[in-house]
Amino acid sequence: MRKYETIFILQPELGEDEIKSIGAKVQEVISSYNGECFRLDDWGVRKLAYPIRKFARGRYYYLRFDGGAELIAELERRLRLNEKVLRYQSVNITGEPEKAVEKKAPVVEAEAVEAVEEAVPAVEAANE
Amino acid sequence: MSDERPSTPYQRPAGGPGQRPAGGPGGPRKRRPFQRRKVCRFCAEKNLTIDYKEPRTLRYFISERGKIVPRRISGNCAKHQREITEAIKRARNLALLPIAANHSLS
Repeated sequence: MRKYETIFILQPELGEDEIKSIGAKVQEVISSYNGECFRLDDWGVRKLAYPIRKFARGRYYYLRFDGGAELIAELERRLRLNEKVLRYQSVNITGEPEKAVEKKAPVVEAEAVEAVEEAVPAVEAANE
Repeated sequence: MSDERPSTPYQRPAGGPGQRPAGGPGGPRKRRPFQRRKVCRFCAEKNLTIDYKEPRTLRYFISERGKIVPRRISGNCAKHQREITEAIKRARNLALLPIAANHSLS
């Protein structure tokens, strides 16, 4: 079992039921390959840094799950085939320290703020 | 960025003039005015994390044109520069960061 996190971007103007069905499909793939889904977060519609397929915004989803190689291959194959999905990216985070994923507020990116009062839960084991 | 501090000069390894001739061919190598060696902020502060999901922190390490700022400018150590580079490239894939300056939104 490996740990994965996948972020995928959907088209911005989708109906509720379409979003639900995509979420359900994702869960179904994970369960059919004996994976374990931990969270599926909606980060909301955000502005894209550059247009993807003529879309200037996209609905971001964050998926955190455990599974094997066949699972990720199948999941990415499905995402590729689905034309509602603009972009996806999976990262294997098996060896990395687990840190809390804070809920993203669906806001358009503000300009860079100097990190002064960012309540970042510092659970970093010094793995030097 | 460029505050001159002549204390504790950073010792270049031996081999000074002769590697990377700066000026044109033949001309004597221009000595740049010495600048204080910046310390890597990620080494100094252990609770800073590098994450491709946080474009706001990564934005500090890309130029106006969207290019990755090199180590000699940003002052990162090699290890953290590698992590920054990786994170920026991942963020670019997800359109969290721009790839170039002027993406035409037509």
